[in-house]
Amino acid sequence: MKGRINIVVLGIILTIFLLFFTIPTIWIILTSIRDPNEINIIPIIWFPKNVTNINYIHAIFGYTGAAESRFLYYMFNSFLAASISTALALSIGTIAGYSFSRFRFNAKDKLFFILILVRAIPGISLSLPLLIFYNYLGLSDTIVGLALVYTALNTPFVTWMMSGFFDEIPKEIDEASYIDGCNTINAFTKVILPLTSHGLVATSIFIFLLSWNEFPIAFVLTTTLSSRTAPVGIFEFMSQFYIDWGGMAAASTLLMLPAFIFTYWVQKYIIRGLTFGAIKG
Amino acid sequence: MNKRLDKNITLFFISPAFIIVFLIVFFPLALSLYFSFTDYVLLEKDTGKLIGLNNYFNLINDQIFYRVLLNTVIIMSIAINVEFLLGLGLAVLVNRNFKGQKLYRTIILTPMMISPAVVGLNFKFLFNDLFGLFNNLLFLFRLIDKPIAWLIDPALAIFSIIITDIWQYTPFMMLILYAGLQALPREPYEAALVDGASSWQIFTKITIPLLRPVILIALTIRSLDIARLFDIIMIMTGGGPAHRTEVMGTYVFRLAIQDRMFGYGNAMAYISILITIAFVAYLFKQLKATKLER
Repeated sequence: MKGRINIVVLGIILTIFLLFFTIPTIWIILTSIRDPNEINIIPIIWFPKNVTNINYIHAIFGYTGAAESRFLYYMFNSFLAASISTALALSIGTIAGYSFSRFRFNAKDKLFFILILVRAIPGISLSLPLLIFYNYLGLSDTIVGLALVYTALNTPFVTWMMSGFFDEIPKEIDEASYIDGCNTINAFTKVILPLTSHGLVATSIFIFLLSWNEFPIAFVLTTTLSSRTAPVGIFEFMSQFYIDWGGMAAASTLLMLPAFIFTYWVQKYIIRGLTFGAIKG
Repeated sequence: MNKRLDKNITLFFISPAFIIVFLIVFFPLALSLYFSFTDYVLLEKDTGKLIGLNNYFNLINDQIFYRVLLNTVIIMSIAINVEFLLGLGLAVLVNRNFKGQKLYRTIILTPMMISPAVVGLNFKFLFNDLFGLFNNLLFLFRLIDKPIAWLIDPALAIFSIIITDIWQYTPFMMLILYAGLQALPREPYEAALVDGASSWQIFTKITIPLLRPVILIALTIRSLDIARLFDIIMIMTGGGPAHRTEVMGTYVFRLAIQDRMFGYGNAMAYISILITIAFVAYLFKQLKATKLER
């Protein structure tokens, strides 16, 4: 009897938590398929009466009469910046992570401290000098410039994620491959790297999402269609006199998609990444 | 293996990482320190003279600067405590076996994977006094009879921010504490059961002390994140009304970009960087301590 009551109580508490963490997201998705006329009225309509895709059409293709849709460009910019920086940070960070895991060298601790610091510096503070620096280099308002910042910020992340994955591979495997005549670089690329493929996939998904979601640096550095990213561009659904909540909800849903798709696959590794490798998930 | 060769390869492997980090992060930070000693105003000629520590002295006399620190402390002290308690409760619940446990965990996790900018914009909509979900739910359950102006009321705005932060980052707390629970040793529990300890005793006398290092890491990381909070506030209130939700990040943006006082803004930015370094140093000590324990 006591066990059954426990299960009922557990179920109720779990449901309350579930509602708290899902209702806001569900509400946005519901808003995105609502007729725009059903959004700004009182009393509010709880469930959409006319399901429509008009908000998505507004978000992706723009409004009738508007020359072009800007949001599609912003999504494309986000995708480019995130992809370029993921590829670069993954290559640079993986070899650094291998050194951290395999070789002894002085000042390893200090270097590790610097890596954590990079990840922790407030984006808005970093964006100020970058604005001037990029102006000088001619990189302001370019995707390349933005991708470089994301690469620099994600490299430390890849380094400690990957060094954790390399730590799990016994050193004897390296040594065996040396005996078989591999040099260090061959042992790394032919033997060790394939063994961490799951780690590489998880890490790249993770840093892709970090760049895809980034806001403060893009907010300061990107000003026009040529490099503005979606998290910044989504602001444009709020003009000074009118807020298009339907378009905003549709754009938000599109931006949230990668998170929905990937969270299930990478949740095991999120912990490791976010606690600087201190806690293994 | 040849030691010398080893050293060369190490150097070759880690140098790209450090070159890009120094070029794109540390060099700009040095630049920022320089700007913080000047009277540089964006887009204005004849500014940029070195004025020593004047910007920092001005900050000390700036009333808003203290408001910014106070707001940060308010957000930290409420949000982190609530997130910790909810996160611990959730972690304990999820640590029990039930059907669909992994799916449940995944659904709970999604808020922290969404862009904070999107979360901020969406919560601005949810907090809308007329069409927002929250006021309408409160109406539905007859808890209020006139709309609450969540983001406009000077006293309430900061709580709207706190609620949003709790919604987005309690899952993070849960995730870390859950991982900590999973890694706990079995033996102390078996011994306690033999001694006839109650489950509450086991929780407070065994679980919590064993979990302590993980708890400290989780709390430090969350404090660090709140010290650099920017996205959701910028979008939901822009730091207003009357600086009641202004934090370091939004104030940096207001000073350096909106008011174009670039030198002064960089001084504020530098203070936020120093605070970050202090948190990171503390976190680093915690991380090393847990590594030694394992």
